[in-house]
Amino acid sequence: MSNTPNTSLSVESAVAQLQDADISKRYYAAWCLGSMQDPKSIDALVLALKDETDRTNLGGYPLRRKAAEALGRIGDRRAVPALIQALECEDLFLRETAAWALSRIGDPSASAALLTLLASDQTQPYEVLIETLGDLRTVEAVPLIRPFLNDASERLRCAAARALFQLTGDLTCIDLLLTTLHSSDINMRRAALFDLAETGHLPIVSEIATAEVTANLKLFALKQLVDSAPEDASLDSVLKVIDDLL
Amino acid sequence: MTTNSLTFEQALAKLATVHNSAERIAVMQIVASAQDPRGIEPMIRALSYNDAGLFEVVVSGLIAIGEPAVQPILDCIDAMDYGARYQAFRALVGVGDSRPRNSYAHWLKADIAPSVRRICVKGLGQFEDTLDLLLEALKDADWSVRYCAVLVLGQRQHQSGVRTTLEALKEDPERTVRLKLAQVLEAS
Repeated sequence: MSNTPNTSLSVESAVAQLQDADISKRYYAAWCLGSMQDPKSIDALVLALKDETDRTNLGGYPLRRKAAEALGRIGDRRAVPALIQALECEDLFLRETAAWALSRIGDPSASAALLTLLASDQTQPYEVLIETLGDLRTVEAVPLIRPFLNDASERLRCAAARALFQLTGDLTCIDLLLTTLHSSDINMRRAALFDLAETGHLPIVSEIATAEVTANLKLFALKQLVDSAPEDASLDSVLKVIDDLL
Repeated sequence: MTTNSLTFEQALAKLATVHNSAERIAVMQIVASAQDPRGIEPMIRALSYNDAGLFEVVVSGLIAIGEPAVQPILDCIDAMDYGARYQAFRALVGVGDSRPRNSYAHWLKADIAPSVRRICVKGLGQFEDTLDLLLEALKDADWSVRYCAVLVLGQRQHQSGVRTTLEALKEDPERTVRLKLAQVLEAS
């Protein structure tokens, strides 16, 4: 019933279990460590991030993906070099999870590797790459991201708009996101809601307040807006909307 | 016959046969606006339908019925999933009856869903003697529950211990909670 695994594993035993002969036990241990979020497990998870033994028929690395996710959740900078290295793996989903983890950790030293990935000819986890480069404020990514404003995928157009606003402050990007916030597709509205929140652009608070999404989602989006807003901004207008929702 | 021209009795009967959300909402609207206690049971059942539009109709319908709806809701609330329970508590808070007090106190501690714990904080805020429970809610793992407790306790800073406890929360890890706290402390 809970989000955290119901486990009797301590951090120490989960770390030990990452070396177990049974691959499903190793995977479970990585999952537990991701939920316990104890920095003591970083070295063991970095080791698991290089695992070669747990591999699917299609060439995917489940344990490495789970380890990357756990490292992202823990959010400690010591994991950055290993995660950057994981960006070179042929497993697309590992590259995606590693990019996501680097965005959670928020270390700009990952920017160059992420830029290389976005510019490569190989298929990439574009949505996460674009979002991460925006979150890391990698201004050099602007020319690489701009073409995605015309992508066939609405989701990628929104990710690009969000990142370009973060990087350039171009208000037409906000308009693009507001259009999607009124989409007839609830999943698109939901994604646009959080893209808008991530911009930290306070004038959109009234648009969040009246969006066609549940009160719960609005609440999370408003918190995200607060977290993304400039440090000196006056956020009374956002708090007022939160109060009215509760 | 169009949905809009149904009588209350016809609408009650029709609820069993509607299959799409828009029609169900239209029929439920008729049931809800009658403020007839016979609508209580089908409205409570509708709380498990996972339909945001329907929830709004049903919650306001139950609130409009008021006191007679309280015990039937309380009889079902423990067996509900957390989504339905949240809506049921919204209705109870809207009615403002005293009988749900223990239920608020129980689910504030027991429910895994922050939305339920938040609405329990609001419910407990309707009672004078719930200070300890509200102070406990300031320690909730979820920011939104702590926020809600700050909001409710902000009105009670004259009660002993409240202000000191709120001030101790200045180190909250979430910016949103810290900002609300500063606002509440400044306002008093």
